[in-house]
Amino acid sequence: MLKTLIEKELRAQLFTPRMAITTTVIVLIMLVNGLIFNLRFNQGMTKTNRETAATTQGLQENASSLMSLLFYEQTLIKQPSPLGFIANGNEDVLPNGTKMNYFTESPLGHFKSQNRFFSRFQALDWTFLLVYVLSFVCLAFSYNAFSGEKEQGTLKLILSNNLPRGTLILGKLFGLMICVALPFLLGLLLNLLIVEFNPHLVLQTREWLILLAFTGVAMLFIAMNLLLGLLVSSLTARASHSLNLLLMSWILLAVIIPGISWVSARKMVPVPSEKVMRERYNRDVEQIYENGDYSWSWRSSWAGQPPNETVRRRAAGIQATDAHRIQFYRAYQAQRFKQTDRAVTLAKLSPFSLFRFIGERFSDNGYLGLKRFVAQARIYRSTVNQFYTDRDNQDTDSHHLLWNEPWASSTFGSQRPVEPASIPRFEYSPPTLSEIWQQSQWDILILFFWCLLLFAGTFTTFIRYDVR
Amino acid sequence: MSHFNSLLRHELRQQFHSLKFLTLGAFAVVFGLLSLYVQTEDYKSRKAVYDEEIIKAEQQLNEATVYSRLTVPIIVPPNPLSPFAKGVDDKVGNRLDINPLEAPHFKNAAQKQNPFLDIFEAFDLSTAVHILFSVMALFLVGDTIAGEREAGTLKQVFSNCILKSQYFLAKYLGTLGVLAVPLTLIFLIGALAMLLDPLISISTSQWLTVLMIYFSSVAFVSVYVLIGLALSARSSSAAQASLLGLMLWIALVFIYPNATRYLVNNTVAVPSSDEMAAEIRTIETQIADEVQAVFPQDGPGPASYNWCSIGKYNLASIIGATHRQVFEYHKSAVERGIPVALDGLDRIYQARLAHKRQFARQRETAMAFNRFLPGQLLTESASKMAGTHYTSRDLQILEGAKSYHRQLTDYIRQKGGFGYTFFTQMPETAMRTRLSDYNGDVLEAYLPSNYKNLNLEDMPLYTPTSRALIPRESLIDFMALILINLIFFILGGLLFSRSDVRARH
Repeated sequence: MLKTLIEKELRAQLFTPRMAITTTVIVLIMLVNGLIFNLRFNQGMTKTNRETAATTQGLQENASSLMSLLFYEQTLIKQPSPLGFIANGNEDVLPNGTKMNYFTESPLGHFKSQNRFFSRFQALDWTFLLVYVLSFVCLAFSYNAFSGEKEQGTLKLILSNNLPRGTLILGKLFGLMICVALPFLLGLLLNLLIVEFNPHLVLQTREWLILLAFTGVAMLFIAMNLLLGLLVSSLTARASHSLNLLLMSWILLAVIIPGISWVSARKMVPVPSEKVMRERYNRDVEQIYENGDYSWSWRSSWAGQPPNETVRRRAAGIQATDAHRIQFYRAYQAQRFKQTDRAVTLAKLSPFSLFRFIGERFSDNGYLGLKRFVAQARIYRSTVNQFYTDRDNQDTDSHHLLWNEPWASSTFGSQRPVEPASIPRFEYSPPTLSEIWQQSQWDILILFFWCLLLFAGTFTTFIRYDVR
Repeated sequence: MSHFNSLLRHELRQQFHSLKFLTLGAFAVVFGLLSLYVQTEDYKSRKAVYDEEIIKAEQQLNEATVYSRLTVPIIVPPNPLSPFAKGVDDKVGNRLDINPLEAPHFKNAAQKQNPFLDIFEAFDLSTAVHILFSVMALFLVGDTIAGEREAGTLKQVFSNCILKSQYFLAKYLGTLGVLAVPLTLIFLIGALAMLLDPLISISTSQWLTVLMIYFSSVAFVSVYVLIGLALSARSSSAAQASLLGLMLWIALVFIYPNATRYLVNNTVAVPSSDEMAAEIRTIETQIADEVQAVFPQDGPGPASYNWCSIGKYNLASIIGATHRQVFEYHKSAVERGIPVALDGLDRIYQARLAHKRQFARQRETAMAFNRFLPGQLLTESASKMAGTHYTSRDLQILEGAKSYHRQLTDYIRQKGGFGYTFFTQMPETAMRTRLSDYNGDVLEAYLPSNYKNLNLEDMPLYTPTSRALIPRESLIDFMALILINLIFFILGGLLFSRSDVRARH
């Protein structure tokens, strides 16, 4: 019986104009996404490779003395994700790199073109397609599933057979699932085909497994949207009322909740402006200078001599300021992250946003990808700094006094050359499938729970639905 | 005429009492007011930072003791109309420091609190109207003609002596009138809240701008009502018309604009900011070399200073006391170096401007594809009227700052500021051959920390470029909206006049 119902649903939907429009739109979006992704990926890789080569050259040029290496500022860039076509994650508005040396680390920066004259826009990636297009298609396919058939009088006829209502719901759900999933899978294959033709990108087993897992989550998202349509359809007697309700639900879930979550987050976790923080930092530094026993005297004749007490006090002052700057900046960034995390959590009240952030997690792009990059960049800085400190400690000629004043401090640390190949290099490592699962399992479970809830809701209401 | 009036009354009554209008209308009012509230709060927080910045800037300006240290900050206030149309108001920088040795450019927006929140959509009122009222219009009119045809009432209506044009006009005006109610409510309540807020000050001319944004919004809604009517006239059923309308809405509001911007953003290449910074560094190095090349050949000789700071391009920034010969050397370096540096600064300004123009071109290319979209016309015209469009908020201010930089350098030149007073307050008569020739009181008196502040009473002040109340470009967008209205009115009317009033089976 279920098979018959699915076949009936397929016959009713497959050769309709809306199916043709849906397929055309999906295929077009997927084609554009594939082509633009290739272009972006190649441009991003060129930029990353150029910066990596410049860093390699910089390290080689400064490797003649450890002290030169300490002052050499490396650029760390998050390389473009090979799965960026799943979710771009508003990469255009987010920073993608930073600069650092032994003494300092710069705030995150944009090592890519960022047009501030553009109003914010969405990339045509898989998440966009699913959140804005396919969810809407699901609505258009399912809004009249029960109420429409009731209006036409066919629902009464169907149920006059010995057909359990649960089976009818499943028949509708699976039939519509196939109708929506078919064009999506077709577009997906075309997209992957285009990506496969990119000579600069080879998708490895990891990527294929992630793609497979994401396709599964996408099916869950489609099912959730269809179930929402079925629930609303079983709640109303007229198709036009279902459409009305669904339209409002769609705007609420896809536009309003994601659009206002950040406002509440801003109230819950206040973050001062950059200007306020700059003033606060300047006050702190004045405080450090006042409270510490530092000296700012300097004579050029002290260079090359063992450090005297004044030099040590000068170095201590600069070290204290540098340490405070890094700590202060990190605390400010942590506060910003905390606020954004809260906004993300609130946005996830909508299953649409929930799915969007699952997409970002899978593609390792966007805000979540950036946080991962920041964590790795910090680990790298600790590693490379430890390497430099060890090298300096091994040198018996060094006075082991390192501070951030190249014109004054260069003779107080090790002058020995360093083998460039031995210097730890930054390499961004994307998350493995198990890491992705660990980080997004709750989101996927919540999405699954949404499906269960909507199915239970549909079943409960449809059981009591007056089919006449 | 009486038929038309009854039709209009009937339409208004029917729409006002429909569940669709009541639910969607309430939804739209809540969302519209929420957007306005959010953006007003954002404006107020930016304004608070701006007020503090202004106080600091005045202090900074009054602290200048030599002309090399004279920096006039231009701080752009947040736009009180940004809740209606935000444009690029909080995206581009808000501060330019006008200094003789710096090419004017926007510094990062210090008012920004958390750039990571940019991943979320922030709706101003024009965007909220764009998204919500378009769908409301399509959805409300979707089933009017098709629904009446389906129900058979259309045939009955035309059994009386009613013209099709009267019927079409009544439907159009009725729906537009109904939609104008929540729209007007949002504008009225929003405007009233802003008027009563002591932290927001909006001038009379700005209220006129708000009124114009309101008219643009009505014209925008009208386009979608006409599109909806045209679809309804051609559709066989109400559901089909509504569905077609919604599909069109998704395409016009989400798919097409995002697709074109995404395409253009990734195909029209513009150098990144770090590449631009590298280019500026190269020019700076060239300028430093060029300035160095015109310095006096003999050099300052062995110099000792009571206080000295060398600034940009190796020009003396501040000197307390030194040998007369060294003073003369630095004066000569400033006199020869400044014209060369100013030429160089012009190159930096032009390079930055060219970079910005590339971004502007990229944006305009994307806009060219969207020019016919009613939503695009609404948001563009609203931001142009409000003064938050990138041309008025960024490029024009930058040009104004450049011309002020010229005025400031002329002023400094007139004051003899590109001579000794560029870096010292010690008069020529007090200068001595050797540092040891100065007595302790003179050295103390001319320590930079004891310098008096410059008298800047006659210094020209920066005046922002005056804007027309309603800029011509925004009027063009507004007229384009009217033209689209006219086209769809004719098209809808034609489609309806040729359609069958009987139900299609």
